[in-house]
Amino acid sequence: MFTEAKRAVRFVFQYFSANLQSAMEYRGAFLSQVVFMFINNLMLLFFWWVLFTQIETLNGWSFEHVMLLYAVASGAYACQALLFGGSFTLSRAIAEGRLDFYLALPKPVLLHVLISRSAASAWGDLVFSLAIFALTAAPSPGLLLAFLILIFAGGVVMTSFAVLANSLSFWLGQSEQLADELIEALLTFSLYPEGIFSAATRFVLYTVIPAGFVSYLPVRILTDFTLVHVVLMILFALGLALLARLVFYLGLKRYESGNLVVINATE
Amino acid sequence: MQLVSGGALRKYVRIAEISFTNRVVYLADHFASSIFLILILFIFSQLWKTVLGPSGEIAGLDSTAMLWYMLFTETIALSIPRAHYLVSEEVKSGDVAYKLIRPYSYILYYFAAYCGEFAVRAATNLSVGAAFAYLTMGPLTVNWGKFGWVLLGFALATSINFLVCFCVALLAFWLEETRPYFWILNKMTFIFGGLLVPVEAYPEGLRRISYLLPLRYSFSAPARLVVDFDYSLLWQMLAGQLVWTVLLAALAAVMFRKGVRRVHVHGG
Repeated sequence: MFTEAKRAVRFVFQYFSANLQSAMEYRGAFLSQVVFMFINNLMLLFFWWVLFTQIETLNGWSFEHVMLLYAVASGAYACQALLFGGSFTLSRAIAEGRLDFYLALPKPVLLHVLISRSAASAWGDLVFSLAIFALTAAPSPGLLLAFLILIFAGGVVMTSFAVLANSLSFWLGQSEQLADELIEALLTFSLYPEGIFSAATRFVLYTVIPAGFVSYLPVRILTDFTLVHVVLMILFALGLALLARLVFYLGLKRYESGNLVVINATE
Repeated sequence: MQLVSGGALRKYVRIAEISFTNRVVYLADHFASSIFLILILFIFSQLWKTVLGPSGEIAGLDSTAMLWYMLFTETIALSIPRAHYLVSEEVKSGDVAYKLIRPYSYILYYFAAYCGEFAVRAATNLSVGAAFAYLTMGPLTVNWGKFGWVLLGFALATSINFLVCFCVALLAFWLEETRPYFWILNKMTFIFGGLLVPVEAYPEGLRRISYLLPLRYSFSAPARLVVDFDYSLLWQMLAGQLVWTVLLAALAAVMFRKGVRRVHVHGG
């Protein structure tokens, strides 16, 4: 089992490296995407900066907390987009019968689809995430490691949710837009402090649309560490990943090949 | 640029009608794409209730007015057609040459098509968003007697937004890639257009900058006028809108005239 896990990790990093080299081929475009994404995220913080000139706290959330929230959410998104970028286009691949390429190869289908794509602009999200975290928390190496683990766990939650949303295509056919809306909803909710939401909405955000496990809980762990929260975070990320895998392979039994001869290149 | 006579005007109205009809065919898609608007309005309804409570205000607007304000700015932003991307593509690919020989003004053709599509998108976004805002925050008190001024403000705002996007699209005559500039425009709209909060809530320096740029007159000012009608704001907005419409129209005409000279047609 250990050898298998090692092989899977090596497989992930080989694809990651190939995707990075592919993005770096057009260095100017790559750098401009990174810079623009960094500025994009910075501008999202602008609204909060303006709001906190009018108020002092927001149900216990200060501007620093919101900055930390952005660092965690953009870090989690970066992990999803850099390592598992295929999770964004899975729905179309299912509906158009484009999974044949992966089915014919001796690698785990879901993992292969997920790691086959990587969004170069997400490097900007990662740089933003680390910069804001460094600015807000002035972290020690231990805290930085904890942050990296938390954003990876958040990335796993986002990827698993995207797999679940995209797997609807196995049953519904063309449901790309629905999947996109659900993925967008998760990201959007992750960028607003949970202090603004009612108890009922929070319940939804810790279950159906798990933004709580992408950003709220990691922020709580970073500001007020408890082991229970860490265990809860890891168990949820693991549980959701297993559920996503289960649903995907259940759906795969319904998959119909499109008999398409396609070039498996980034669109 | 051709001048618009009575007969020519009918031609552009017809183009707008065709664009309108084309979009009406995809009405269900437009309603489906309003889901994002609902999501944002839901989050901000909760945010403003928490921040402002029943009696708090930001820039003179209470929580209900803030949500309705945002509904109007977002409706404008989300209803802007993507015709300008098409202009960029036509310029880059050289297809613009085929349009130049047709009996219409290139700029006015796109403006007419833009207006037709914007009307459908705005109607769907506004109806869905207004229903949501009404259910979550309650009704907006509108001064119907002055609604003509508001409509005029929105019409000029639409013209400004078209001209700004069109000018950026025309950069394709000189630049290889215009997407980063659209992207910057998008972000500037977010800040200087006052998409989420009225620019009056900004610190002094930023407020002054936003007063000098066109985006305040095409997003924040008309939206604010609906929720909090005020004659001094109206005159200030109309003056700003007229100045910017004239300036941007002149800029678009000059850019187009100079840009077209750079087109090389190699057959095809």
